[in-house]
Amino acid sequence: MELKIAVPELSKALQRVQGIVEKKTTMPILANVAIETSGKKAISVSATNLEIGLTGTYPAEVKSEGAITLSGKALYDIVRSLPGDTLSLTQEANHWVSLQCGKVSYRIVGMPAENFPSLPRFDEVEFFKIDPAVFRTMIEKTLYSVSTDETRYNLTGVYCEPIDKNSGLRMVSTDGHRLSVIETKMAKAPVMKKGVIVPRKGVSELRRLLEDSKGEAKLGFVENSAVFETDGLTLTMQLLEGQFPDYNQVIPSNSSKKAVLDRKLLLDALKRTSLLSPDKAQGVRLELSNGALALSANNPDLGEAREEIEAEYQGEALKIGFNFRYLIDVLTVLSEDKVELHLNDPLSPGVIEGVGTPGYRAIIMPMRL
Amino acid sequence: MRVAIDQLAGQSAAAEHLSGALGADRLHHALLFAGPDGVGKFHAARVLAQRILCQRAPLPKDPGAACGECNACIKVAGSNHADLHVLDTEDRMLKIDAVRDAIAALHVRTVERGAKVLIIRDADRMNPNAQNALLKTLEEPPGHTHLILTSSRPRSLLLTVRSRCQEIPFRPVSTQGMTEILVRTKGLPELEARLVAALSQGAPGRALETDVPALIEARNQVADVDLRLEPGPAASVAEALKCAQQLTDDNKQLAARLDLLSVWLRDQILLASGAQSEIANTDREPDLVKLAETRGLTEVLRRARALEITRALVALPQNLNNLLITEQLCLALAGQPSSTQIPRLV
Repeated sequence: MELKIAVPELSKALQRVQGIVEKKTTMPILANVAIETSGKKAISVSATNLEIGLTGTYPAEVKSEGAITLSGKALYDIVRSLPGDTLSLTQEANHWVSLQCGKVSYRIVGMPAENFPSLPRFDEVEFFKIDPAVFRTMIEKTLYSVSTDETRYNLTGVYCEPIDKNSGLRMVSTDGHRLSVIETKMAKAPVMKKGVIVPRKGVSELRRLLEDSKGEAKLGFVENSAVFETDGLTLTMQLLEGQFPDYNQVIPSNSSKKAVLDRKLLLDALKRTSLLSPDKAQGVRLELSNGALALSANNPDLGEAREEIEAEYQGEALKIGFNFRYLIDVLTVLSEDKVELHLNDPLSPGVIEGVGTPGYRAIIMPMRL
Repeated sequence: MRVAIDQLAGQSAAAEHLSGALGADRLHHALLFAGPDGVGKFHAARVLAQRILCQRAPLPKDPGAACGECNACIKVAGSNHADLHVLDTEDRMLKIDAVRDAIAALHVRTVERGAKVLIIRDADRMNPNAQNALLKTLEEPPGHTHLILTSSRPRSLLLTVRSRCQEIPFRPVSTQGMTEILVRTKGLPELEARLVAALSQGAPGRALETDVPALIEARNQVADVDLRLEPGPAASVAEALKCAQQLTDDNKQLAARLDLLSVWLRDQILLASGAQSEIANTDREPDLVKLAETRGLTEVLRRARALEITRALVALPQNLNNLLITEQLCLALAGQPSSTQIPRLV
């Protein structure tokens, strides 16, 4: 392998994968980045930690093709400190690589690319286009309720499944106390037979990538991984084993009480009231009556708080308790001015939706207060 | 190059069992390789893992073999296979966090499209919390997962862990088998190989790592201790204490030195009972013959018994004072009544 590449390009490539390159690991090769020529005008730079992998394609002048893996950290440190603009990289015998930039030269030892974990064959992936902004919203509205309980593995990711007859994508996450589900119709829908669970780490990395994404984005699923492509970058997320629970059972099909509230007003009131909620239980009491919602909390060590806000509600009065964090999380990811709160009785789950934008529902289990 | 379970030196019973299970496609998902240290349990686990992960279909006639050539085999050999997880530590204990991380890794789908293998080396080092954390996975691992535990002390594993695993016994390798391995792989001269083999007590792992001159020196040291400490009025307490000091100058070596002393005494027992051909320390045969004659079987057995108690104490996981234990031994060898009674273990 022999090639020339602009130093800033390689530096950018290596910087992007620094977060993925493993620092301490039982598999030495994971500390390396794989550099592979792709045609005569580009190279790909990949890193993986077995859960997520990131591959980027960058312009380069390829003299002879090949592939090698080199220590991600060492190479980045070298490239960052180079004085010139162009770096030539030449592979020598026994996986040695020489780097030449002006009068600076390095020789570093690598490992054969065959030892690098296989990334999915991207040409086998059936991609579908996805609007980065829409996708990012979907992720934000589900990521917060992913379980952090490491013993319930099947809940530690976001469940993605096709909507009926592949007309769109649905994403669901739950930690057992709350659940969020969002669905979006799509012109060209995902090609998948059944749902898959994308682990939290992968989804957070995806969100980071989407924040910078300017152009088009594509998503696809292969056997064991999800693949996302944007701006010349490919992110692969290894899927989780196991069955996602049947979440439809816990979504209340109808509600007897529906209140419309101003989201911002409710959020601020919650933040104020929660200052005096019990440290451990984190509960606030919601009292719904005609035209008003009263929030109250009491902490035996500190005292009590109570606040009343306007609510569009007519009907029976209802008292119900919730963990204020769960409510705040939902209200934070929503962007609508008004939200709908659906309730039945003090022991049945509550549902929150944004007014005017269907497709997203957050379900929260109540607390006994 | 073919890599197969039946190539495991001296473990034909285990190899037969595993090959049979592989051939019938009925390999249990949780295996416990149990046997003394250094007999090849971990090596066998890696070979089995390679066979499970090998991308080429095994030959029906040779179900226990991996091709050794495919990408997966190369990665396993270089410890770079993404679906082979090895839980090992230099510490005395394997803690729950490490076990949890390994379990979490098993719940991620395979990278190389096949199965996943988790090897837990010296599984008895897991503390009870760690073992309990493993139970659910041992019983019902995520899809296509094999767990292989190795242990030289399987009885100190929780019963709940043992009952969830299929135990595959690994036996000490015969001196003959070991000699062959040493001649073949280390190129030792036959006589030297035989001595190393006999002194390594059936553990090829230990024999292969052996630094031969160091081993012989260590053997000479313990033989010297044995020769110096004769019961009788001439034996002094001071001499016994000095010997104890010498034996414990390197705490890490103590167990190995006592093993050598045990082989040394065993040879005397053999000679005293007339089984000459079986002795291990052939290079010191004249000394041994003389000792066996002058001491007689009763005295040699008395010494061996004192030593066995000491070895058992040293092998305990608790931190006992090694110098104190060894002083007791040396005093016993010198025929001195000890100040405190060595507790009777059985």
